[in-house]
Amino acid sequence: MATAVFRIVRAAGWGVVVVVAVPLCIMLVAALLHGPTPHPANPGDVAPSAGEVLSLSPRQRQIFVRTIAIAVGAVAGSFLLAAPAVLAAVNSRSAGARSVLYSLMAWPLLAPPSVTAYAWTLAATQKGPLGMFFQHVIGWNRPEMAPLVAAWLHSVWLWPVPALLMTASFSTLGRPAYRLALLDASPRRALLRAALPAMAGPATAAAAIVFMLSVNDPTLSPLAFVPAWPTEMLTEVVRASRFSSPTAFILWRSWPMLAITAALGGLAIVGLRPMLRRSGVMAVEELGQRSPRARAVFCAAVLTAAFVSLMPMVVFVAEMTSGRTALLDAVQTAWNLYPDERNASLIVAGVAAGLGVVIGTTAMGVRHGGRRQRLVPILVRAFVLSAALPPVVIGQAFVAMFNGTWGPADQWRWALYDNTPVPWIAGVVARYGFLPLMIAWLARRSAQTELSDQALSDGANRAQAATYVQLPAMLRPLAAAGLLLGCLAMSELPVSSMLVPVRFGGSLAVVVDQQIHFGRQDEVVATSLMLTLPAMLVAGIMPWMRAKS
Amino acid sequence: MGQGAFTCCENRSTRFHVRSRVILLACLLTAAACRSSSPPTSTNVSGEIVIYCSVDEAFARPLLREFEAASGMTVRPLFDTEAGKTTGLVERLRQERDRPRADVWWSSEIFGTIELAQNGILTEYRPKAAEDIPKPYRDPTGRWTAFALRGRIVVYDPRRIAAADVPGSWHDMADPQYADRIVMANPQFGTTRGHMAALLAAWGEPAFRAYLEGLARNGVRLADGNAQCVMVVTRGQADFGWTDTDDAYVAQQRGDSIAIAFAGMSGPQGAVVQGTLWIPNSCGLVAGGPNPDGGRRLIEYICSAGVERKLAESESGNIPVRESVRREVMAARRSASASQPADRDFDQLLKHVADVDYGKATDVMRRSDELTREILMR
Repeated sequence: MATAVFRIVRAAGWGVVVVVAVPLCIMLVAALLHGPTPHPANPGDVAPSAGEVLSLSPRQRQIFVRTIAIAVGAVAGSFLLAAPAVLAAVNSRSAGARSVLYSLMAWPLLAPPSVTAYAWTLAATQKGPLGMFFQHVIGWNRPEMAPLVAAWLHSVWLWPVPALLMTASFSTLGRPAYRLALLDASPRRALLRAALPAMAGPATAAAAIVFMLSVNDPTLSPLAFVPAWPTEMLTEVVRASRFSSPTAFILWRSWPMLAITAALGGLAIVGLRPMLRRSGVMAVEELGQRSPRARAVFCAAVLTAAFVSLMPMVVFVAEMTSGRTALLDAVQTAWNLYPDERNASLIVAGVAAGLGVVIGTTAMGVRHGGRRQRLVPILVRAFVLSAALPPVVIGQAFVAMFNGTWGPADQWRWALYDNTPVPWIAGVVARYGFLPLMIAWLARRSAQTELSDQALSDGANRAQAATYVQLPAMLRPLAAAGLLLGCLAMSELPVSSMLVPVRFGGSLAVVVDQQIHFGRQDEVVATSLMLTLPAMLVAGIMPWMRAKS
Repeated sequence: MGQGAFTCCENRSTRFHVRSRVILLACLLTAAACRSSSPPTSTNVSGEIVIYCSVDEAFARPLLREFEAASGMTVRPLFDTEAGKTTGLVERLRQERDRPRADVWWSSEIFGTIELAQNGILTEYRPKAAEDIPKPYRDPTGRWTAFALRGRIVVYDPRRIAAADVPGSWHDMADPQYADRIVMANPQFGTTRGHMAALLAAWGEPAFRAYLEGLARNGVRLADGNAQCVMVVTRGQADFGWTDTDDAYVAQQRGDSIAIAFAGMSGPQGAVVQGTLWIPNSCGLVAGGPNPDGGRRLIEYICSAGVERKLAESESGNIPVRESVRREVMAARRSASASQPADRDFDQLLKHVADVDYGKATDVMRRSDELTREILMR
């Protein structure tokens, strides 16, 4: 029975690929083959020339360059924030202390980025000493500082990516090299000359992932008053709707960023390969240092991580206690005014979490040779390609797929588009599906492959080996992968705003975006608490799951 | 051996079940795919009304709830993000024109609504509740009705800027003395889009083109929305912001140091236009929507004097187009508090209302989009 369930889940995983990534790729290829042509309803329009579609205006070039510069800043900032945490995690002897650190690492990635960024901007514009520090010492509000502020907002959101990947890669790649080097080198030289070069691939992958997520986020840079490439592409969506194949138009308009993110997606896969090839135990083993210096590093790392991760919550609590915010009224308003959005977002988050588990299980279930293993690269490439796409392209492609009057089963597609969150969930999975896939892939090594191989040689088939040997050890990482996708689905904005179904309920992330931009502080604080508290709980649970697995 | 045989049987049985389920699923999908492609129709759910709404959710939602309670019908609203305000939903309606999902369109501005009506996406319906709305705010062909005005204004921080230094007209903003001091929302979206079109309609293309070039030379910053313009000014990152009255009112109630100025619409060469642009809410019935009867009922409610009064009394502070409602709200305000801020007094505000032909502005909106993209956003 368990084997059957496993097979069904794995089949469902391939079903997700079929529903999400494959049609998306087909739509995009079709869009590439058929350029934008005027819509019959706009007979006066003419098809734009290739040069017109492909060229960027000077302003767009400026925004493009600035977005890339901010993403590079985000990569640098996230690695700077991650470095002490990684050092502390690999040096700590206490599993409990490491769990606290992992909680702090996980929280920013799980909380909605716009909410986190809003809290930072709130702190920086307060009239108290903290606000004075931000305004007068750091110069937060100075226009020339805006790109740096944007890079910082991206860094505080994305620093867990390098932190978690580098911690994991140290356990598989860095530590063996480090231990070998310790035979004839000082700990410092062993770390710098042996461990870090061995971790170059995962570090590159982490940088590529941070870059991809940063350039495709439309919410953070505008909060720092910096025009962002994804926001600029929203303008192109408006233009695109004048053509009969808007996906083609928007795809061609976004080609420069698409080229970069696709290349970086490939780089991420290549960078992670060394980790995937290595077998071993996933849990971090400490280096065994108990020197005062190691303790100081650990304390500094925890303080830094706590400052960065807990700042939003501290700001919200300070707002609550300041008397300026009528929080109870605001919570009541937010709770009563947006039940449809709340329920719809929770359902979408729940289904996305389930799909995260399913995708992870599919990636896990193809561990052993044969035909299915050759299909894994398809799974990985499909999801990395879809993650590399700008969100507006994903949204537009799914609108065309579910709402278009092409091909068969139109009534079914329309019913899905109108009444169910299927397109919305598909869009979110297309954007973030690679994350649970990678978590499952990386954690697969914890599934005691020797025992699995032994089971195979004892006559078990692949499904049985996966179900009875690998799966029990993978349950917690799979749950973590699902929870991560669920949290991201809850806070996703651009794709959600394009694909929200008319008869199902709206997106809480869109509500928060409206409130943030309108400056309705009380309700932002209340809705943010509604969104961040589950993320905090998840962040608290995840490290314990990880430690045990 | 026994264990192996059991496992073997179990495997076969499991495979059979899995395969049968896969085959069943495949049959269902094939049946779905083989269904004849019938003409596009909408999903009609009786008792449900779908409304696309670009009015700020916090204002619109309680009103829609009130309608639900009174009518017993369910309203399914779809709102937009701040950045894509109005324009995003207008484009969604366009994309869905072959098979409309929405019954009602309620916009916080009018230009996109007129455009939709011209494209045949809205159909004729003359609400009885709107008979007391002045004629300029009703489409002669009955495809839209307008009410509850919001003004286009300039905001500044009175602690940093003297009132005398505020530009007296929108045209003055192109003057070099205002270089690097102005912020406006993206002119491809929302009320700023209509504002640019109204300026083009009032001044003509040569003057408008020169004006945009002046703004571009002045390094006008483009924000993500009107509310963000106010925040940029509040934080001292710009001296003057183009925005709507409701965004300024919300900032003032939040305690921000923000003052309001009414820039005139006068053009460069004697094209004198008194006052500034005021933009009404608008609504219309979507052509071919799934529930036209429900849609008509909802439009009756939205266009009613009661809703206009509530919008006037809300944080948004819209000016009612019905004189009776204006008097009613002012009387209620006077009885509630003796002091009436000048920038909320309807009589004072009406002195700043420019005579703008919304239809003419909409006619040139595409050209205005092209020019702003070509010059201001290059």
